[in-house]
Amino acid sequence: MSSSKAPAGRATALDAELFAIRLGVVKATSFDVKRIIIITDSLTAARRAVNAFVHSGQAHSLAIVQALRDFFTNHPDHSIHFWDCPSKAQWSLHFLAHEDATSTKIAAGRHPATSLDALRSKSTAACLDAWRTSFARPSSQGHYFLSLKGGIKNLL
Amino acid sequence: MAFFGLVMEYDKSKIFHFSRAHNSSNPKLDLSAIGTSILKSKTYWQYLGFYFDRRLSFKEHVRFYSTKALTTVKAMGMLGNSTRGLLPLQKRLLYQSCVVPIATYGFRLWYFSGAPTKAQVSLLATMQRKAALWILGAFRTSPTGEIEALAGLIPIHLHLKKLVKRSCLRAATLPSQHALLSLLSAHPHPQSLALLTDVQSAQLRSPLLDTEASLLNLTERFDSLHPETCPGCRLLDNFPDHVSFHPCDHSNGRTRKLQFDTLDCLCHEASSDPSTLVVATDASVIPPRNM
Repeated sequence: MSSSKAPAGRATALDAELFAIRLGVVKATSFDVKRIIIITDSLTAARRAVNAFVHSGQAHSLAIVQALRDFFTNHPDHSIHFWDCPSKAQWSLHFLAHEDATSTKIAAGRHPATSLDALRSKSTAACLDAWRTSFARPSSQGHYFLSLKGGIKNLL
Repeated sequence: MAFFGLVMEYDKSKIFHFSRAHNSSNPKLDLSAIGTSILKSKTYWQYLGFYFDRRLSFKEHVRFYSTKALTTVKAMGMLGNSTRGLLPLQKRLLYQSCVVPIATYGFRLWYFSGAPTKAQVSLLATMQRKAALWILGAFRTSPTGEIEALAGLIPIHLHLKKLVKRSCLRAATLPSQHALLSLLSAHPHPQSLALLTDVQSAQLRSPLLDTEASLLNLTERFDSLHPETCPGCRLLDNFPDHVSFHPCDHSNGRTRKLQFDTLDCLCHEASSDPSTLVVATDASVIPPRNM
């Protein structure tokens, strides 16, 4: 059994899962095997992995697709199977990968690789933060709203 | 034009003068010399649903669409009130999916850094207040921020800010030869931002500047014209039987157990079969606040 891991840069969970699948698939196709079984906790990332349409992490999908195309061409008996395995279930082999991934923390650095979805979610979070802080602004209190109790969890 | 067999329909012609000067004249065009009527200058020019005014402030555009959205909200009033009809959650969903896209149509024309947007945002905020009152069935004197918070509607200026940022980032997915990208600094074009003088750059207020600033932090590159993205040439189109997905029903404990039993069997088989390889993948992301 072997393992490999790499920093994905500033990315969303889906981008990081896609990158993890890329590492697994590219390495697996380098061996002389006929059947590859990928166990992942994000089947959405797995579906994105084999479809290189324009999306965040497209470069990972293109690398996977290229590797798989070489793997399948002229080999009708070759196949790849994606199995869904939620991390919460702590299933044996996947739990090892989960523990390895979660125990590794890498600083982002000054100019990390940044994915599109990471920036998009960051801009959304910035606007939500601005909304949240607007409640505490003295100029707005009593004019635009009164004090709320229970925080944002008590919305509709 | 007659030489080429083309006939000019003067009745269908319009005249429009753009000017930001105060008291600038909007003269008519006298075509009586060629035997047709005088062309009257228009105040607004409508194109693809965008309303261009003479000063390019787009106040008429926002007024039109905020009124249209407000009319929709008023019409939705018959679907429910504070005592009967739709639930507040359904009313909110209806507002966000059917009214907000109408109100924010063409917002990139007028909402960008440095543009005077106070009057336009105020029109939209008034419309959203009416919608929040309808959603909650609240009294009409209730504070705006409070009812927006209770209805879960982000203030419209923050919503526009979010839409602008996300829209700017989407420019990265355009093909490299796209006209928009050719106007940005990284791509030379006679009208490119890189060729502006310092004085011009200081005076320029444009959505292009927002787009350029947004793309600075993005390191990812896209290829929208890659052969793998063409229908019929994709991996799943060429090798549909070679790829399979096995989802797990997270809510059903019995199916989950069955899934794990199958995975155990597969791992057991793989340990004795050298032609099968099992790979477990996982990733971990540190929440943005801790980065």
